[in-house]
Amino acid sequence: MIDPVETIEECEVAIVGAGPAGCTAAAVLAELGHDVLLLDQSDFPRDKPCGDGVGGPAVELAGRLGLGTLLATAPEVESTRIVVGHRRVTAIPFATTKGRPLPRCLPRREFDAALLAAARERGVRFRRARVASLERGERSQWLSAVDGEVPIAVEAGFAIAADGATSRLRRQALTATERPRAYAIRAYFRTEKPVEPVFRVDLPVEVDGRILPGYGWVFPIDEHTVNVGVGSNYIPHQEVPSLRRVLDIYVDQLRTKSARQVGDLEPLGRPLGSPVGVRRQVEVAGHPGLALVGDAAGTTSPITGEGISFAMRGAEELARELHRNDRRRRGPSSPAVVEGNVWRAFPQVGIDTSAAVRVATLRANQAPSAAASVRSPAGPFLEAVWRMLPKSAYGTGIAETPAWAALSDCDRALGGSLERVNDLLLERLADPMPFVTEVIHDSIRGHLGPMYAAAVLATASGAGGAEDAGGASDAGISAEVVGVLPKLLTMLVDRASSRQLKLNNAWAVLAGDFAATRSLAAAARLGPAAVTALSRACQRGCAGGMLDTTARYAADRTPENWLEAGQETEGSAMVLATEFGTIVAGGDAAAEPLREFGLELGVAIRLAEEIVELAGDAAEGGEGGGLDRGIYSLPVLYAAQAAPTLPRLLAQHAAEGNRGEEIVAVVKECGALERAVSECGERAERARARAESWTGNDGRALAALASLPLEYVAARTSAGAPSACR
Amino acid sequence: MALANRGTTADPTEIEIALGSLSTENRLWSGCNYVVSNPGKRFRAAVLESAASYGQCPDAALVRRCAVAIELFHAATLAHDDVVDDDDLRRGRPTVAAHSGNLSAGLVGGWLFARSGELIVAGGREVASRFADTTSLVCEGEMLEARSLYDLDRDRDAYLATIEAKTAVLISFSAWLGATVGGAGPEVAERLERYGLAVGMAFQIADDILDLLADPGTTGKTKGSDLRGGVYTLPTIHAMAVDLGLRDLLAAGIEEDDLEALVDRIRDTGAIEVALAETTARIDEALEALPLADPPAAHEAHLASLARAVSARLDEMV
Repeated sequence: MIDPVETIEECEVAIVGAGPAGCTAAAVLAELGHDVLLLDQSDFPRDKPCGDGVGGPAVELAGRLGLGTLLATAPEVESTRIVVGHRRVTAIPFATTKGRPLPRCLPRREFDAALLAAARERGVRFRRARVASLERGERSQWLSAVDGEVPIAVEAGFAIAADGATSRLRRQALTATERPRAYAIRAYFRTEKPVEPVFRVDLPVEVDGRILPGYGWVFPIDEHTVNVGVGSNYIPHQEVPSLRRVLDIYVDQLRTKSARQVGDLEPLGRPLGSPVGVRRQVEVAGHPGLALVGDAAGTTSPITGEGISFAMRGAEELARELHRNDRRRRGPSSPAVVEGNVWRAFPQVGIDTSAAVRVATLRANQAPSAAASVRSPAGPFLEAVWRMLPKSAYGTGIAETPAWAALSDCDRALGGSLERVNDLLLERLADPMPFVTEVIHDSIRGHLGPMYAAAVLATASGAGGAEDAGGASDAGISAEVVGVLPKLLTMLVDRASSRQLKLNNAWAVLAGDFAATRSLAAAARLGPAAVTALSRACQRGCAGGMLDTTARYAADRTPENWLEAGQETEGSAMVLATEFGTIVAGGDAAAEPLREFGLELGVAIRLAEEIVELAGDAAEGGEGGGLDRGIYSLPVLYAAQAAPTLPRLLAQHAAEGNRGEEIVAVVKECGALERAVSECGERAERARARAESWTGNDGRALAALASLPLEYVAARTSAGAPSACR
Repeated sequence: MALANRGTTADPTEIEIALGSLSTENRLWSGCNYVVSNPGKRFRAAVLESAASYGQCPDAALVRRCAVAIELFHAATLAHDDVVDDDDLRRGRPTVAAHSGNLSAGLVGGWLFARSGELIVAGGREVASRFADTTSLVCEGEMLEARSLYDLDRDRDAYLATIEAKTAVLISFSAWLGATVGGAGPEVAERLERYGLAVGMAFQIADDILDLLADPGTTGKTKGSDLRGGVYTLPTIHAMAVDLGLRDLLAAGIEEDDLEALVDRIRDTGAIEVALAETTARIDEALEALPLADPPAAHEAHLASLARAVSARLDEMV
């Protein structure tokens, strides 16, 4: 008997799956000098069911891999447009800060083919073959594959499974693996209407009187071509609807109810569907010698359905990690290290939305769908989720924030310490609920960045250095989370009449409690003095929060009352930060040498954020910052004193919600905004002076932080910086 | 109408310790005062105090401070629970949320939690550290529960893990804390910790049975609130496994009028007996862990009777 001739391929890294994840990992590894064999069962180019939306980070990465010219021919997408019931529209523009590219929309057939070409240009070997199994050897991984009839054996030092949502390698490697929890189907259509450069998302999709736990989409391919699809989360034990039928129904709905926008959709080709790589948990390590990326790892966002960015970024991280841990044939990378680093890029992925989907679906199915009223609010917590969805998907680093910049300018090591605090924060904030981590962290990164953590580090180093680096991180985490607490607790709504509002309240409370326990856990590591300081600061914070709550809709609130609230909330949190810094440096927190600094800077930060939210140039995240919830910032209070027309305008806005622009105009015209900016500068200046006169210690880093509020206001508004504060 | 489960009236000294130096001018004071003036059964404090008596010479002031701290933290979780569950009644009165609004309830709960931390520090570094761990677990338990709302596939293991985190660990900590600050020594503390955990599990299962069966006069809460809120507890989980049509009924949604019929259907599956058996098993576990002299001292007997009382509440109902 003659054994069948088997082709044996050898390589350093074998990658199974030549989609975006596989090609990116291959290309990066090849660039770093490694010998890569890439395997895929398809001939390229080939079709892939997908919305075809390429997110900002993917555009950037693909650009670096040489796809810039190709992407430039694809529509550049300015915003996501969420359409509810084919009537109510919410637009979420994509942020364009710091040269980050906008998303593009390009059929996967072209995108994937170009990525493969780019990989091959970098020396990646490609073999068309279907991989059947993976076996671990002493020092290598053995893959069995077939190309047509020909069996192939591959010996690799390390294997990467990039074989998608239905990954065979994943099923073999993980003992408890679950089915993908989402499915999607799409088809291309021609339309006579000019196609707008937006990602249109339709919610809810109603079929047979039931609401699909997912959404429909219309994405722009070119001027008269669109990609139309539906995606649905899978809920165990419920009938999985035939998505083909759902797509037909959705397209009909578009034709009848949204004809004006989408036109008459003429099908081009047949629909194509598949499972989507969404799972309860992201899992990146199969066993030593095997790593999972992309849909095989489950990195597609269960909320937005976006997959390409996470797949490519994860693949890049993995490739770099492998390179760093390169052991050639001496042994594979430790899974724990790989997992840690890749995970860190995606704290928001792998969260379980099944609870949210279940509640929403159940409630929606119980009641007849009511016509959406003009101003039916979703609730502040849910609105925060909406706002952060497009933002936080694209980065969790704090290296662009003013807080980091100020520390780094003083001392690069401090900036590094702040980054470590941020990393640790993300780890500690990992939670079993949807959205909580994201909203908390997004709040921390917003505006000035992690100011409280920065103050902890600045105090500790100024007082002679942290005796315990771990302690400094814990202190930073604790203070920063406390800073966020009042915002979370006041995201509750009093009269939760709708199911959305009830959900809003439930999540806001849980988020607040979660933040509080994390803060306490970090402080407990520092000892009883820290816990006492923390407890007192939180009590003050709640008292301040109550002052703010009591004053809602009160146009006659006095600035003194506002100030008291500010001192109790942001002020106390900043004082706490300095106390923590003192403890970490081995000093006596009870001495309170930086109390005045903390109070002034805390209030200045509060004021700066209010000014920017009210009158900022960019759409930073506030449509007037809470005016419709009766939250009147200091500029508004000053204006209410100076302009007799304002109280009435505020009352009208509270009732009808349509006076926002007028109110902002009045605030500016009567000089109240300028007055607020001035005051912000004065307080910041007092804080700076206190920092510089911090006897026996180095207050430069703290002083640098104190200059941030006014700089921030100047950068974000047309108000400019008053000459007083240089 | 007498409210049978109203609990103890509040001790003025304990209110003083609880509220500390909170200014009466702040609206926070009225919400916090409302809560601490209605202490309920003070179950956890009772466990702590009896546990402390295992020590030779417990520091009464310290024990009292810790007892107040535990009850404050518990009250904080209740105030927040009532926001999450959108409940109107607690301990026979309107909840803080119903009384002053959700925003107030959120801040009141936050303040109470913070204050409990300040009080517990008196017990020392290890106490503060374990308190922090316990509160984290309680919060995670709440999140696990929220995550499993309306989850018709919720199974027994998931349920047990959730109630251990959200209820049992606090009672366990109360027992451990009492023994520790009472000076009873680590071995006794460890046994009481186990006692507390078992009692806590029994307590919650019993509570869940009562929620299904009992009227507001006994529980101080609205009837069947768990079912309506999508919280599928042990009886319901068992019933759904036995009566397959029940799941579909629940999936379709629950109207007020259906409630009685649904509960009857659950009872028909024998689910209540199963849950009761689970309760009894845990109580036995608790009694086994409890150090009991022969004859038992007053505090030992008290802890034993607290454990037995958990199922006694149910005897009238079932």
